[in-house]
Amino acid sequence: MQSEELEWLHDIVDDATQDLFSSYGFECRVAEGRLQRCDLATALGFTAPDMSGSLSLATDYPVARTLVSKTPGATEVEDWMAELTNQLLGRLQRSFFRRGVAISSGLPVVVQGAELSVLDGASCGAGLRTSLRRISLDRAVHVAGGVVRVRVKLALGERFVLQSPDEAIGECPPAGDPILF
Amino acid sequence: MSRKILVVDDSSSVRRQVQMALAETGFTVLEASDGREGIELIEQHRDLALVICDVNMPRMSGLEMLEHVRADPANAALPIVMLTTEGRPGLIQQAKRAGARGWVIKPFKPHLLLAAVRKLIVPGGG
Repeated sequence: MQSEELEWLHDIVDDATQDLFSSYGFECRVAEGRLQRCDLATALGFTAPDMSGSLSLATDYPVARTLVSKTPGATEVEDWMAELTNQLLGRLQRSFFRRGVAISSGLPVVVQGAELSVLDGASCGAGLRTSLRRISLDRAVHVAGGVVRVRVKLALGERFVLQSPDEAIGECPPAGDPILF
Repeated sequence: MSRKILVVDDSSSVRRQVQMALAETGFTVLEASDGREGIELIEQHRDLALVICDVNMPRMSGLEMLEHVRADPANAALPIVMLTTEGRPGLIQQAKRAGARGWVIKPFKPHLLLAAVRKLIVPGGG
């Protein structure tokens, strides 16, 4: 993968993540960081022509509880973390669409436990004989007095193309503005 | 006029947020957590003023529910608005063809959702 394309992928994930937490009034800082041990993790799979992947959020209960308590209407930790995952994927989906990649997604799942640990992205899929390019984009979001880890794993086929930001080709309506028919 | 609105979403948080946004309208908000439950409530409450419905849900998606509801002529005038993280134009057009009256991408802005609801329930209202 060209380093420029990898940089664009990082930018898409960073912008979507920042935008998600900002939209609910949270100040946050997105930095590099790998998934470590956590109490709560979500996962959501997606596919596109010549691409598949997953999105995971992971954090500890105190951080998740703070996110819930400071978000009007949020009912419970598991439900809200699943919805945040859903909404983050929605942002990624719209960003990818503008760059020529149409993603379809499934439903988020939530895993709870004590000191869950997640494999290092580099070791996942190691040894597989495949022409797919595997990428793991790991971010640490400093928010709500703690850290939420975001991991986007991608398997890209040979024909995968991401348009440059200057050559965006797809249009998606903005979030929040009702379109009436 | 009917004072009932149905919200169909698999997230209890989103259902609560919609309920909060509509609180000042005085409407009673009914809740369903997937398309099948949504259909059951629509059949039980024939006097609904409007339905707000997610797209990606377990058991039955919002678009499947929309098509099922529109297949019953008794529901021809019931306004259905899709509230979802999805923003692909093809999907929006699909919903429009299937009879949706609106599409809102999450997260929604409460005042704009409220204005859209008023416009659909009271044509010309704002």
